[in-house]
Amino acid sequence: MIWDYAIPRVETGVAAQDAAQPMDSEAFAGFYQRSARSLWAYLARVSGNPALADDLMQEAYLRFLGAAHSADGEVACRRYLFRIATNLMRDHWRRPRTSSIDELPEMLFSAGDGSAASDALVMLGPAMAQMRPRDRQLLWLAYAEDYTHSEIAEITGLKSTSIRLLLFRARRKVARLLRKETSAERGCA
Amino acid sequence: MTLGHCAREKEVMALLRSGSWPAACDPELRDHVADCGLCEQTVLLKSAFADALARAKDEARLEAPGVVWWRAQLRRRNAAVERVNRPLTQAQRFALLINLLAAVALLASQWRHVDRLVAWFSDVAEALVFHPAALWSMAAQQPGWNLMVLIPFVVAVVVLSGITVYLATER
Repeated sequence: MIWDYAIPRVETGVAAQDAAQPMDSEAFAGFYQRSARSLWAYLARVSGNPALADDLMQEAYLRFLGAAHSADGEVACRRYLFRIATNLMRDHWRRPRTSSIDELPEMLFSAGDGSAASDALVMLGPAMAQMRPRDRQLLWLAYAEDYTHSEIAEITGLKSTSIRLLLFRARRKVARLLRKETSAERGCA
Repeated sequence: MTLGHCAREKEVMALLRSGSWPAACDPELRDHVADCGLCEQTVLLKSAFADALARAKDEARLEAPGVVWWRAQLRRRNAAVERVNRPLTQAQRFALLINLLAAVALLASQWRHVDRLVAWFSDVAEALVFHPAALWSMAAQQPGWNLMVLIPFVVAVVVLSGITVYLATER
């Protein structure tokens, strides 16, 4: 690839490090194409901030490539990538700042273009906004990404047994909110 | 707290994942979902999240993978350069430490001449006219010749320490 030669080499054992690199540029390009949209969707919908999702996604891929990760296969790499993204989001929320995820306006969670948005998404946005960040993560990983409890535990760093309980509570709450939204919609119509 | 469980939930989930729900689904299962609160909840959530995922994927504005790869390589090489420079920085810190230790050792060895040094400075302060030559002869007449060694040495140590600190923090 052209960009391989765009960066001056440092003759300090980098060549040896490159040899140990788990993913070459071609393999990465394929992996990126297959995983980036899902990762962005996760970051954007859980954080409620598309600009933040752009930043965190870039950082997640940089850390993913920077880590000496053995070639465990696409599924493991994808899970590892989501784990990095989850940690980055957590670090972002922990950082002291004027606006935290809990203070973001609800409209950020709804679809940007109201005309194109489906009913489900319009309803899911406000419902997600009322959930705690961790619950949003768990719900997204379970119902959008179809991860199992053990995979979610690996990504979030929580215990698998805790995931079951937390997810049960979260899904009950979000389902209640979605039903409330739906009945309100029907009431208006 | 009792966690709800339905034996057919996995079946419903599999149909939702494959996109077979509700069209290509057994009518009996549809009836079950209508009656089962948990399965109905699963259908509601899975449908909403699948739709949200599809729409969010369309919204994503992705950078070219080459750009991300290039940034990662750049970061990796910067880290390598930093690793190489680390021993140099440590050597500079060690040099600074040695300088400081030498200065402390010298001051400790010359401690008994401090009162003379104080007297010498007070003489200079009281002098009406400050002549370097006079200063030199005045210091030379003192029995503690070591003062003439001590002062340039301390100055040299201070200068060298400053240079070392500058070099250590230059990056």
